[in-house]
Amino acid sequence: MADFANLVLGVDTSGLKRGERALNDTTRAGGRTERAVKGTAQGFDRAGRSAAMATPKVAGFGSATNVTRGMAIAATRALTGMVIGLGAIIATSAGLSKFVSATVTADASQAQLGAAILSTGGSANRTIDQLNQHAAALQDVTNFGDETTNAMQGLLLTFTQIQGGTFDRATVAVLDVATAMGTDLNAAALQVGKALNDPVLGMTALSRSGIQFTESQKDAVKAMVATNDILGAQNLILNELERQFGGSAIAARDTLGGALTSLGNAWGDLFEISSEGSAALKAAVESLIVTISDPKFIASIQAIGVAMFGMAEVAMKALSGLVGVFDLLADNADILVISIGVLAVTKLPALAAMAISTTGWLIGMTGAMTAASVAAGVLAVTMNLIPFVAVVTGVTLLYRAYRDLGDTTGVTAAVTDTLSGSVDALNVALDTYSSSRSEPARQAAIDSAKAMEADAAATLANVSAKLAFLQVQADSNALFAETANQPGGLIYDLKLQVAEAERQLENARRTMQGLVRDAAEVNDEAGDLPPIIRAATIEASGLAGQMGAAARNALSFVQNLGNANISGLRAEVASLRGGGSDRDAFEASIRGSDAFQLALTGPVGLAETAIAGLNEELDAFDLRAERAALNADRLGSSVGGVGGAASATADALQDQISALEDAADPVRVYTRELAKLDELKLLGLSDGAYAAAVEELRDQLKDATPEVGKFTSMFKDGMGDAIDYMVDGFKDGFRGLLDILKSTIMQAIKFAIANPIKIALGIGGGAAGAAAGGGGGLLSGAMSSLIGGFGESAAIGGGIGATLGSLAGGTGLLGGAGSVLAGLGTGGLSGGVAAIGSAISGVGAAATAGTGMIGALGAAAGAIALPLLAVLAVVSFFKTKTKLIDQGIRATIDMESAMFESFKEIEKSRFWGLSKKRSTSYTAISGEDAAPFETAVFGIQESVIGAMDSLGLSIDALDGFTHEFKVSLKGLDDAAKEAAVLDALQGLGDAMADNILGLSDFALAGEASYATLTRLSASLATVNDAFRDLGFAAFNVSLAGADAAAQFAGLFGSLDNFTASTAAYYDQFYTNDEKLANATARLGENLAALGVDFIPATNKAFRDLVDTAMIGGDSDLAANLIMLAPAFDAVTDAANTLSDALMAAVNEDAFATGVDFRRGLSRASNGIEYTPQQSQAELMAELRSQNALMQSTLEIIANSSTQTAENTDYSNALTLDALV
Amino acid sequence: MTTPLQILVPLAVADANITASNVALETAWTAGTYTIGDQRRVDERLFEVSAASTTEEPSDTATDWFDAGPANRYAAFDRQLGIDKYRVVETKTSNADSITYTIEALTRIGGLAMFGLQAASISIVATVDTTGDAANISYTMQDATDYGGSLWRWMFLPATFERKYINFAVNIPAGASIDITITNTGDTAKVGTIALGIVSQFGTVGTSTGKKLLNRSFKKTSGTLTSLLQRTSSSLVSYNVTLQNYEGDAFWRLVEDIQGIGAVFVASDLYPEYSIYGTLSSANPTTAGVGISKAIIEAEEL
Repeated sequence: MADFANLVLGVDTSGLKRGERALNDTTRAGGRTERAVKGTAQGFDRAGRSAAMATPKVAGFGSATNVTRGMAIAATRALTGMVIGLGAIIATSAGLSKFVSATVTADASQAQLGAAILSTGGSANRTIDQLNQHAAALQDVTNFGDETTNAMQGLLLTFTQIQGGTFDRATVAVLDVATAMGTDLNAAALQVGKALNDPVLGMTALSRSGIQFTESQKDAVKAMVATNDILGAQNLILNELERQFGGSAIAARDTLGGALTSLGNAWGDLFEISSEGSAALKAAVESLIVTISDPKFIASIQAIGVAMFGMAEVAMKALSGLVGVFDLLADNADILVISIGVLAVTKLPALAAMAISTTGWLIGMTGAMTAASVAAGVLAVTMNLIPFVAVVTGVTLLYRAYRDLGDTTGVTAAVTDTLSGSVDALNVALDTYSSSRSEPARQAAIDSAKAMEADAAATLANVSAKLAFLQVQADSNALFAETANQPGGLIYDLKLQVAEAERQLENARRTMQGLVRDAAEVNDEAGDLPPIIRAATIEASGLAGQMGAAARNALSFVQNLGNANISGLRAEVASLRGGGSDRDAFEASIRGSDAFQLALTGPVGLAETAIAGLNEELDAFDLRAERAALNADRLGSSVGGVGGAASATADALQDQISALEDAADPVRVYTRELAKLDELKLLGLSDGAYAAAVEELRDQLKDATPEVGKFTSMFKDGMGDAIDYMVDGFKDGFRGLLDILKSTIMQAIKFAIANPIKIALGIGGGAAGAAAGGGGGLLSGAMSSLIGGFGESAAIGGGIGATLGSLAGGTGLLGGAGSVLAGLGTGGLSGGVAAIGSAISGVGAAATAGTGMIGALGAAAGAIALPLLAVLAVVSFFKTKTKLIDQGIRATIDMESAMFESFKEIEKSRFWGLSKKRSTSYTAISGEDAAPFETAVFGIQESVIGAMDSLGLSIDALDGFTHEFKVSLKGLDDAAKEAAVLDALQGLGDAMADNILGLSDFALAGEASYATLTRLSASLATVNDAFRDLGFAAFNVSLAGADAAAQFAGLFGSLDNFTASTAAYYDQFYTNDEKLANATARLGENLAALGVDFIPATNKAFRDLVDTAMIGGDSDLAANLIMLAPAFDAVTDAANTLSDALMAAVNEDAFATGVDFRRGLSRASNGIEYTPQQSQAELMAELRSQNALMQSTLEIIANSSTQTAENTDYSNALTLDALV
Repeated sequence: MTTPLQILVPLAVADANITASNVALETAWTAGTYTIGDQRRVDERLFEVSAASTTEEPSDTATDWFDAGPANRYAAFDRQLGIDKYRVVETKTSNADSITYTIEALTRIGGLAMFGLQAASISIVATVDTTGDAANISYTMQDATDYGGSLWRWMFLPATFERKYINFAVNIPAGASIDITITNTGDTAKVGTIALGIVSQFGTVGTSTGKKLLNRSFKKTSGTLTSLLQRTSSSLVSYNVTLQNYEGDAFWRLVEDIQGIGAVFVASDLYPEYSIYGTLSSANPTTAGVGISKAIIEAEEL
């Protein structure tokens, strides 16, 4: 490396000397301007002439270079020499140009530095000399030239906060950063300059560029800036920059590349002339400017320009060629030695001949070139080098061709082998096809042909490419031409391979065409076949049927003939042939006939005629007998044949049937074969053989199982259909019953269950819901109805309470009562009982409908009042036509039973009224007649018990409870009777409620016990039920809790208002999924009450549930489920709506990955919301906005606490920055 | 560019074909109760519970489970078949230090390719009778650090390695046992796709073959927040292919065969950027002269 540097320096020194001499000459010429102009003009004239002379020769050289491509490459070396020669011609000008260029660059950087110092007022405290010295020093140890560094310093000077020693450090830091970050010097200077000029902002900028500072460093810099310690901040930044990048520039210099760069910088400096030194040149240049304006000078320049451009063009082409040659040499330097060695052994003679030939040509060219140009005086020397280069190049090319040939030949051989293999494979496939003519074999053959076609194509392509390559080599190189077309020659062989590949390719195509034709023919034939086959099949089928029928008929015929016909015929023949009795009888009959006797006794001849006729008849008889016998024999024979054939056919059919049955029933086969094995075992079959045979039988049975499975499946299907049919029928029948059941209890239960659920869903809520609930408080009514509907009788008291309240108010009831009583009066007992019956139904309905407030709604009250009117109607039973003093009803009641009696007090007066006697008689009312009373009494009892239960009170308080009332009805009008009965029943409720300890403490002024109890119960149930949906904590189940609930409801004015308000609030302010959850919970509870511990997922599942209950005979469950259907439907509708909404919310754009999207979709379909994790970018954006808000807040706090914003804590902000 | 267009149609590699692997299998599903987020494997796929709780058996039609992609061991062989997988295509098999497979019972293999590699070296050993007699390939992943026009950049950036490996010069007979080893000692080895199959080649790929990026990310603005929703992009490569008349039908048959499945498309070794694992997007051969058709074949990278 040192030698190389010395060599370059030596050359450059000589150039420098030449340059100095040229400058001296020019300086001297500058003093003699006019003479110099003339001299220069004359000089250029001469040069122009010389160039004109050189031009055609150069052109001739140019054409000569086209002789061969290889020779052209060699010729470029000559042009290189020519360029050097031209360089020698204009050495002075070139040297001058270099000097001028370098000096101008140096002057420009100095001028920039001076301007920067002036414009910044010398803020950096650095002079031009100081900056130059620093730049020069840096040039020695880095790759940056002093002019480059000066330019950067000029930029750095514009940052006026960088001063003194800091400026020097910054200069070095810029070089390091630029080196390490791979940026240009000016960009690095701007970064570092900004950072040092404004440390706080600058550090952020550096962070964005990848230069990181720790939080503590950032804090420290802020603190320093805040205290105006700019220098300290700058030092911190410089320290960090030096820590991260310090020495990068110097390290870069310490490489070969760096050394070369440095060498270039030093080389450039050689041409920098001091301003004093360049002054004379400047003067000379000024005079030259005058000189070049001279027309003669211009003409000379243009003349020489033409010549130079012509030469330069050739030179450039030559240089481009040289580049390739040098690349080639460089790339193959490692193989040159090897290749030469190889060639020496293998192709030495040809190589030597070629080298000699080349050398000879080159020598010739050298001679031509020697005479080509005056300036080409050095060409001969250059040309001396060309043979070596040309030989090396040629050798390299030859070696590479040889190597490539070997590679491609190897590949070609492999490809050809593959083709050979595929040909073999195709032949095998074709053999298979020709022997089997099957479609799979044809397909296999086609596939094989395709493979062969592909291999042949690949071979063809490969070999063709190789052939083309070799052909080029053969055309340009005798080495290959010699063997190109001879057997054993590479090209010859390759051509053979090409021919073979083409032939095989053609074979493959023809084979495939043949196979395709085969296929077409087969297709054509196959196209014709189906009708034939179909016809044949039909025919065969018909034939088989006919054969079967024939066989059956024949068999039957044979049997019939055998059993009857033949034997009958034979018997007839026998009788004809046999004892002759018939014949004799026949003869006797003839002989005994009158005609025969007449003939015998008549004239002669007549008897003979008669006997002859008799004999003829007898002969004919015999003949028939003979024919009959013959026919019988023939028939017997035929029947025997047919019977044999039919028997054989029947046997064959039987065999087939047996085989089919065997196939259908492998178990039968198994059993039969096992039996045979058992027999064989008895005959001595060994245990091992027996076991093996049994195992085999089992395997066969196992294999046959699918057939068994099919049968089983068919059987099951059939049975399934049958069962379905039966069930459908049952369902149809049951639907009628169901309708009846529905008509009786649908209203109550549907309302009881669906209503709270609908309310929970927000469907039909509000005042309308309150009204629908019977006016006794929306939710409580629903709740109590719900419970009541399922027989738990929790809040029946509400209903009764309302009833009593309504009756007490006497609103609109008397008319109804009157009509009932009137009916009793006219229609008698049966009509009255019927009315009572319907009224009792009304009681049940009203009780289940449930109301919470006394005097709430006339409709509900009216419904419940009916049974009580019916009770009054019964009272009419006790009317008597006798004179009564008093009459009425007496009831004796305890918690187990109730006894009802009618009583009459009669006054008997004796004639003349002298004595009066009163007596009271009691008569038990029959069970049937007492039933309405019992219902009413038990209703009140249950309402009290239900209310106590809903308040958490123990019914032990009612242990031993007894009550008796006596209602006198005599002389009362209907209204008074009604009032009397109701008073008595009210008294029963009060008497029971009086047993509740502490109840009176919560009674309103003037409020009876029973009213207090029902009011508290209804309030607690209503409010807690509403609270449940609203998610509020429920009031305690106690008297105190109920009182609190009542007071809370009182805040709304009434329980009705509470219900309406909370329902509206729930409807408007609760989300659909909250409502759905509440409704679902209620539905779940209802289902659980029915023993169904899950909520069906779909309508179908719900229907399955009902169907299952029906099929299982649980008609109660089925009916209750059906009554739940509206509620379930409401829930599922809501769920579907919610699910649809969720599904709609799953927007693909909200998910970053496919899995997230699928997760979102799948969960939404299950009603579960899924929010994907926010992307990092989103989080950061959010954090940034929060950060900005926080900073703003901190500044406000700081200001209000008399601190400056700069002193606030930026640590959080910096933390976030670091996160970014 | 005068090389043919080469297309490798990957063979289906199922559980039965993988006779050994060091990639652990996820827990298989068994009957029981699972809660939301639970993942279980069924054959080659992973399913995740999407209901609060379920006893349902996972399947494509299950309502309480969804297909969360291939199991780790099978991700490399996931051919993306099936209906609408919602872009679950960025699946990779990963394992500490190395990934090994022993694959058997495949038909003949004329080419193999791996994409989405994170490995220092790979090895393919195919055996019929004696180890490696059908193929014995070792390859060290080359440094593919972004040069970016700056030597300094190249020097200072940490070394990165090639992410794909394509070798269409193998001939592994049917039924061979193939051992694949992907090594990245000291780090996690990953591979996105391993494609093994027969290579078909057609025509010559001409100039104007090009590639363009299909960006999937997009800017999202919500209120005052603006962010970039990042998604994996893909690319669309257009191959300009000249077909001879005898290749036309065969080519079109292959086009029909590879619709909707992933395949390896290779244009030329000189232009590695056009060698991709993708799915055929379009193909439109048009007559260009006697016996010659020109076709633009587009494949979208998976």
